[in-house]
Amino acid sequence: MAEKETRLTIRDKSVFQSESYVPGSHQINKFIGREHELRLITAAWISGNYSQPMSPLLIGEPGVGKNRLIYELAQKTGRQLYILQGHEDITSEDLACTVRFSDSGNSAMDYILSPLVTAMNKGGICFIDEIGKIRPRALALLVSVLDERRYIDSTLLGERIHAHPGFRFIAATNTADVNLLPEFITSRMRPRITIGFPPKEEIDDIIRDQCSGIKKEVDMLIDLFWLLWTENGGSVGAIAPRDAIYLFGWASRLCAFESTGGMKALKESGSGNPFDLSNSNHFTGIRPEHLRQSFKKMFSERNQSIA
Amino acid sequence: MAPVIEIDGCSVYAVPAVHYRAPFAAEVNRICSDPRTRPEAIAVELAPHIAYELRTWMSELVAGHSELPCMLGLMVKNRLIHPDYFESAVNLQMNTGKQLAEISPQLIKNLLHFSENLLIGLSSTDSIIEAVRCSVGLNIPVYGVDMDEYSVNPGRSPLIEEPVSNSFDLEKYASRFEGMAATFRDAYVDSRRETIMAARLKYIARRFKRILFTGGLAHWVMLKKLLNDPSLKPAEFLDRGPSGEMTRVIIHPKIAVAFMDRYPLMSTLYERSRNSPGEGTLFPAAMETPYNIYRGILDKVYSRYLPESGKNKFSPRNESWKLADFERLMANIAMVHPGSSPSMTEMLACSESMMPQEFTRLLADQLMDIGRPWASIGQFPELPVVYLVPEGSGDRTTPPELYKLVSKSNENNDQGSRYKRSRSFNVNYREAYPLPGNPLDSWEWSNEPKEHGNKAGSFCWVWPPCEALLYGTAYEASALASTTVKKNDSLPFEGSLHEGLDIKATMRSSITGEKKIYVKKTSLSRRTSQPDLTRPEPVVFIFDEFPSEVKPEWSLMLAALNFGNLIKNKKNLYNETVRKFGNYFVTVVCRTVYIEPPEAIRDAVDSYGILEGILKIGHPCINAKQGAEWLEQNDFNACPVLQNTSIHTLVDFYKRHHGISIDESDWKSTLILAGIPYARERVVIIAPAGFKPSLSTFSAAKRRNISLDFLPLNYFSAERIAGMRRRLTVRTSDSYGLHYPPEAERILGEKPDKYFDLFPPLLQQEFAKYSHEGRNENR
Repeated sequence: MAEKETRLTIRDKSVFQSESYVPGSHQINKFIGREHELRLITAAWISGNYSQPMSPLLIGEPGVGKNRLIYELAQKTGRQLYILQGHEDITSEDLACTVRFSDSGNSAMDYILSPLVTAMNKGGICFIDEIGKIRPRALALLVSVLDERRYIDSTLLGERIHAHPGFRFIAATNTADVNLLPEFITSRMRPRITIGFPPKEEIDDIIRDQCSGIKKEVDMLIDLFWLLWTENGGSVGAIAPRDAIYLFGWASRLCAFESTGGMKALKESGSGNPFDLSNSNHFTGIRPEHLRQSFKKMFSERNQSIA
Repeated sequence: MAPVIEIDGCSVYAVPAVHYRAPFAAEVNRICSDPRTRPEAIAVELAPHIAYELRTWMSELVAGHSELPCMLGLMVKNRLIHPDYFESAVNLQMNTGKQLAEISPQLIKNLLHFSENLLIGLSSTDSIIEAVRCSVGLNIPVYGVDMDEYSVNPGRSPLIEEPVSNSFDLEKYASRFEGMAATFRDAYVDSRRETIMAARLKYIARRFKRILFTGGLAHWVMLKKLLNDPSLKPAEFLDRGPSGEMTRVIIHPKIAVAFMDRYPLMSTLYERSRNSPGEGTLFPAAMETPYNIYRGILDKVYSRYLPESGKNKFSPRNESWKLADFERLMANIAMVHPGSSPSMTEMLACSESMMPQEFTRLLADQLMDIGRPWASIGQFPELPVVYLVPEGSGDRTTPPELYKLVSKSNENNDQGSRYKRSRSFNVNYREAYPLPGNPLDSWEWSNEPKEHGNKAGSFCWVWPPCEALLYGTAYEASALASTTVKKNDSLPFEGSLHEGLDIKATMRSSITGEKKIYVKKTSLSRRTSQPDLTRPEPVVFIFDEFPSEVKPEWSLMLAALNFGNLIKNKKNLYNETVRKFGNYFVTVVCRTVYIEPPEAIRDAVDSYGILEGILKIGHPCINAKQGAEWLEQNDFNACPVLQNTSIHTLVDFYKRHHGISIDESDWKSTLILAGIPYARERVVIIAPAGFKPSLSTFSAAKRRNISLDFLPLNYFSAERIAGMRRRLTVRTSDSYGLHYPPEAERILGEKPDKYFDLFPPLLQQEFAKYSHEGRNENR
């Protein structure tokens, strides 16, 4: 069954399609805020008989929630999401189609459609993460996808694949890499949307959502969190959600370590009596000292990297 | 039609309003102008003492001006923290072990949403301000019926449909949206305020037959209920006189837009179509619709942009295509957002994300053009201007969102400044729309209260032999330092795997029937190169560090300052660059310890410094003429261009324009990172043997395909190194740096052109031209 769904015939060639990404409800946090960005991207994607959808480029610091925003958009627009992770070794061929040695006896090679071409074919969303990390010459193939032609030529397949009308494109890059994108791509990727740090209220809500098991103490911990953040030189409203979640997550693990017996239990553990590494009290039981230790850990890491 | 409530024989004409929107102000004006509805008294959603102060000030303003200046404001002291933050206030004191008064106001603002001031804008299009203004015109009393003091919790505004003036029916609009607006009420504070407002309105209703009330739409559902509730008794209130806790201010235009309708121009259009109540006429023709204003703004921007873009070698066809996309995005925004046209903030956000910077600048200019001057210190010399302290200005520790007052200085202060500035403080105010942030940065207010002109320091130049020795050495080092070139090859497998299997090449081989296995092989080679004399590559010198007790300072040096009149051909490009970025063209970033000059040369030098490290970008700029020529040759983009010489501004510039995060506490990496964006192939680093740059410098260089090439410092003699580290500045008799006083040469014991022989011959000829020019001018 799965084979049937992923296999496709283009002309007489049998090809495999990439898998879509469906974030599991347990893996992602509740989506909070970002209404302005949602509105701007949705507006950019609206298209009709006489106008084509635009291809937005998201720019922001690591951890601000660019990917999370795209997962939300995929869900809200009811489209399948295909993610291509950008890196320096991607070639232009990788953007369209790659091959692998076949396991079946009928053919020597299997064609694998890239996430981009799969999204174009199925009318899904293609999201290229870290597009700034892809070398400019590899991106040349994207040009015809992003302009009015909306097709891609695959040298390996020897075919031209046209985009389904439902196909939408979006990419993201870290601020540091945006200047590395070539002009022929940036001129076609608009609007360019800068994703800043969320305001304090949104960070508070994200923490409350994460720590839903400790509703009573969470507001006190949030107050302490901001105080520690500012004491360590941060500005209120200038923290990435990922860092905030990391700090609370680390505090939660310190708490779990303590409740499992701490150092004493670890010393007494052995192969016959292993230390329990599962964390059942996820984001619960955090006390102020755990948060303080978590900050200490994070900022000592940061200072080490500076040194 | 306005809703009317009858209380004990008094008709209360109500204008439940969305703040700052012109149709509600127009409705107030209409009620006051029409003899059939004209009130005997006015009540507004303001504290009594604020209403009193506004009425007093308005009568002074309206007496002298037919239009309400745009924009004045009243800053009112605030003492209350919102109850939602009581617990946080206790936590904050427990966690810090300090009383609230001892904690920084910025932290209190951020964590407890407390500001020591509230700002009320005298916005023409606000119904409350219009009501106070009408009370002056009709010479009737105005009552502030709100609570004397209450805390504010900055919440979110409801996303409701924008009222449109030419088809506006207040009663219909209110009944449609009052329920939705009410859901955004602050349950604790607003319910108390509404009870007091209703009780005070009942008290006023006893004294007059017809009154007009205007306040926020969100309160209307509850107010109606309370006004019709016989159990709520009228509450007498004391008319408060003037209060010393209020300051009259001019609101800086960049803040004033928060108090205005959809487009700032609407303020002027409202003023021009407004009726003066009591003069026997009814409200005149309806204002232009927001959509027409929006179209008008865009058409003006297009007509300015398209000819300018032609000059800047963009093809008009390409520009039309971009404009079509820009229009389409804004049309789509209007589809997903209630309202007939995008707001100012949305227009700027779309432009910033779709269009070149120049277009956004023109758009910001046009949006901020209100068809009359903004209120300024020139117009109101007795009033201070409240402004937002720019981020990254001067002191890095300045947190964002702090405000200051700037007022005219009557005293001659030490700096010869025409203005004095207050300490920083916090302000809360109600925004019509979220303020546009960065896009408005490029807009300049022509009446900005700032200092102009040079300070004496701009006449100080680095003594040319110091420059020549350092730059001459840099040219030599550039020719010596070799670049490692990495070459990747794919070879058929012949016994060694080298860097591993090349899967793609192997597959290609398999597909083409060759069926060979390919491996990756990397080879390194070294090459040296001669420096480019038009745009030499950046060179970093890292000298030995000072002992920890010595604290070197960051110092940014300029190619020239205020050299606009020296530009020969690219004046427009120069003006554009200065307008966009500033007029400080930084060609040297260095770490220096300033010491007392030796006795023998003290009379000749302005400062004496020893370098710890230095980055030089481009040519030595030995005088303004030569510096200007070099900058022009390179289209003014060969070095960072800033608004001042603060290291923090430099850090912000790299972050914003090059996407490079610089941590100035790591000074060695800072020097290298600052050179990378201005290199074409390489940055040459002369550093002590064993110096290892940080990973961040390597990754920034790698991303830009820039090679970091090293030369050990000990290649040069100790004497030469000591000479390179010496940095003397000498005061010239002209601002261009052409004329050094003759005694400088005598006292310092060296000619200004000493070490010029270290420069390549072509540069020597060029510099000789300027030294002749200086001598000729001397005669």
